[in-house]
Amino acid sequence: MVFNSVSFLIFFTAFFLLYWFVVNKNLKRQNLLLLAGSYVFYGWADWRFLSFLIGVSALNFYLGIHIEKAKNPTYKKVLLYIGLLAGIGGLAFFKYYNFFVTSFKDLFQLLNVNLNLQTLNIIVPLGISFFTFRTISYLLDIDKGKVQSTKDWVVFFNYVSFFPALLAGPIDKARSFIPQLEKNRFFEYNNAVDGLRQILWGLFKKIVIADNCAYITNNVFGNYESLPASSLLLGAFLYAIQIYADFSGYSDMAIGFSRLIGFNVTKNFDFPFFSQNIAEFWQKWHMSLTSWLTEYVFTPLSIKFRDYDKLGLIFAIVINFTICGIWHGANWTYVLFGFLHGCYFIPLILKGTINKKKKIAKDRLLPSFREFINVAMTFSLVMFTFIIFRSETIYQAFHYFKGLFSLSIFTNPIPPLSLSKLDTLAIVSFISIMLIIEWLNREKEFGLQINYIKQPYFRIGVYYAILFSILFFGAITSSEFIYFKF
Amino acid sequence: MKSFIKRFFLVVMPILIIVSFVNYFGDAANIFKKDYEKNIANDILKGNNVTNIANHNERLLQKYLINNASFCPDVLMLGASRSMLINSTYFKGETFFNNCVSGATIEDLIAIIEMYRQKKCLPKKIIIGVEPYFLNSNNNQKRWETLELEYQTFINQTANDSLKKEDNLIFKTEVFLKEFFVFKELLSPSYFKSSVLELIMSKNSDPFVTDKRTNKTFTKLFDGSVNYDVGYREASNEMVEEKVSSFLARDISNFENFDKLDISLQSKFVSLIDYLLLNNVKVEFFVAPYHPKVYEFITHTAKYKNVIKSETFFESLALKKKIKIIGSSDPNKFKLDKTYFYDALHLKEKGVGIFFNSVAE
Repeated sequence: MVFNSVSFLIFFTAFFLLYWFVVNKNLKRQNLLLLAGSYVFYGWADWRFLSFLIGVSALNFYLGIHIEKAKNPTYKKVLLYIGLLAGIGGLAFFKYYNFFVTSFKDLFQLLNVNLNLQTLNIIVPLGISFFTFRTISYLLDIDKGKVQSTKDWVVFFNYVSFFPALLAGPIDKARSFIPQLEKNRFFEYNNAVDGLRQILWGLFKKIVIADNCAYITNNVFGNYESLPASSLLLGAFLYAIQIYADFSGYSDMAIGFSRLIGFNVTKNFDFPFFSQNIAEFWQKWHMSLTSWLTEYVFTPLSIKFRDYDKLGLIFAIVINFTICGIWHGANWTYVLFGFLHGCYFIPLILKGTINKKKKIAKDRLLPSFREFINVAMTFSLVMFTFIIFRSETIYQAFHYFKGLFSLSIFTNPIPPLSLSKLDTLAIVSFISIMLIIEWLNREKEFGLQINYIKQPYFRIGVYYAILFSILFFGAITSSEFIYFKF
Repeated sequence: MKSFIKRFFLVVMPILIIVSFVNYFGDAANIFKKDYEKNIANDILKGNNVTNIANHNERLLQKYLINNASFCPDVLMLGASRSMLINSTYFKGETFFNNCVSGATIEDLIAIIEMYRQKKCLPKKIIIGVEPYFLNSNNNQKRWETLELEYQTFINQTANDSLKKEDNLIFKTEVFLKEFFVFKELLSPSYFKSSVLELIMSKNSDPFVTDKRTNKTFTKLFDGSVNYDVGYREASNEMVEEKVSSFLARDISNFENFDKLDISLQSKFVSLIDYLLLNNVKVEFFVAPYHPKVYEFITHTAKYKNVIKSETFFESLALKKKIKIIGSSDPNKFKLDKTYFYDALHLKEKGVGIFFNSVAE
């Protein structure tokens, strides 16, 4: 059940009415309904792992209480390590077992040793990377005393499996999310309307931009060997746009649906393609993951390496981003993607500008030439790493780059055969419209936060224009959200 | 809250009304025009070729063609789109009819044969264009459900108990509900796009009778076979190659998750063949070849290993039941290079001739 499906529309309508009209006066019942809804949502996607999700929730709920209670520091650490081992172990088994096995086999084969290790036919539970990170942060925060364990199992189970954010985030930390589950929620008109706007904007980005770009990028990445460099460049550009529109579109919808049921979920994107350097990019791209990694990976590492000054910082950042890459999946392409992003930080660290913040086009409509060049450079760096991210193997990525840096860059790109001129024009126009709207609203929470427009008919006109563009130009065959596989 | 819901509906209702209106009156796939398929069938049965056919329900068309025909064919061609080009010129002196439907499954074959059975009109010979995905339980084909009533009637009368569904009120209600749910297309966003274009262009989408076999749009010939449109037939080699490349860039439809040759589908197919042989119907299998690049790709891709295995299944079944096999999925066996194909899957007439001229002789 994905957000842009009829089944979800029916599910959410029924859920919304029950939530606000039937169980609204009783927090416990409202939370129980939320939990039931989350399990229906998850079970609909893949019922086989529902028991796994419940098991993970139960284990971490129990560990949370006992870590907090434990007087003996050793016992406390043992409980924490059990939780971390279970979380990371589960993730390692489901997502990375086959990757490790084949990598070990390949490594030993280089030394002429044949290891008799078997790969397994493993199905990865949906959303495992997201709910595991939620449970890990919960245990670590309890251990550090940043948060108190909850004694209400319904609250905790809801924190782990909150359906709008269950399959692809944002990854909320317990200290910001659990308090929202513990207090009465009231329907706020303005928040709900903003939620609807955000859902509409997310739908537009997913169906009109991402799915239409996917049609071209699938074609380009599937036939990269026979296409000129100009097509490959176009494919790389469109893939960067696609992955942004897809994932930020999903996040917008997740946040929008959360708002409709009275929750404020962590912001996940802050117009990252207007970033002026790579550090700013990561402060604005998949913000909930970046924040998680910064708190639980980068900060402890940088403390550990602080005696080595800038070199220590470089180590910490490169390791942090390599882990960020691996988090996306069991493939060397993701490892390289993360590693390269880590390396992109090195010039900033050496120049000492890593934490330098400068708002783009502050109080101006357009950026300065220098700002524009910075944005274009950052986008290009990111776009090149997305080629690796999209490729199935490092070999494919290498050959894609080889094709890209050739003289055929000066030829006309070849569009897919079945793409009409109208479709091509529509895709280009809609990407421009998305970028312009987001640029104009870059100081807002999301692209379509247009409550500052006072004339209601103008606002409604904008909604209708977006709705009709979704209906008319939306890709007929919708593809799955890219981040579902992570 | 109430004001939120009220305002929400005030904004959304006009959209829903416009979408329903456009979908009903644009009706790009003619799902709300009840007589669309019936009229085409009547023209074909009068011995005409019909062209300018827009999207339509091919199963429904077959139903009208079979039920309204005043003759019983001697030779029937059943199968999917890859067998649709086989026409009566290869069967001189015999009454031939092609009942192939796109994305045909075993259920389609059964339902069509059931319609002939109910008419007491079983032919002397049936050539089945066998497709590997017949045996893939994950082939995602649902189109046969238009003929579910016919399919289930056949199963109830011939198959073993495990496949039987009681011909009771519940089953009939299921069939009724399926027909009723066609109206969900009124609110379908994907249908909206095509219906808007249909309304804006307001081109005449009504089919018409023609003497010519080849036309601007595809033509359904008087014998149930088809002729592709001019554009498709005259595509350059480069265009065909691009079609093949983009076909191979995605998962091959019908072959997704082809993890095994489904036992139940095998058993259904064998039961169908046994039934035909028992009723003195001569059966032949036609295995249509793939474009050389596609065949090469399939044979070298682990996830498609069952495509080739299914051909072995059909071959051993044919051997066991003494059924003649025409063709092979391997184009190299008949020296068919890329110029013999319209696209990744479909053979040109000159390729079909290689197999069926010899049948005619």
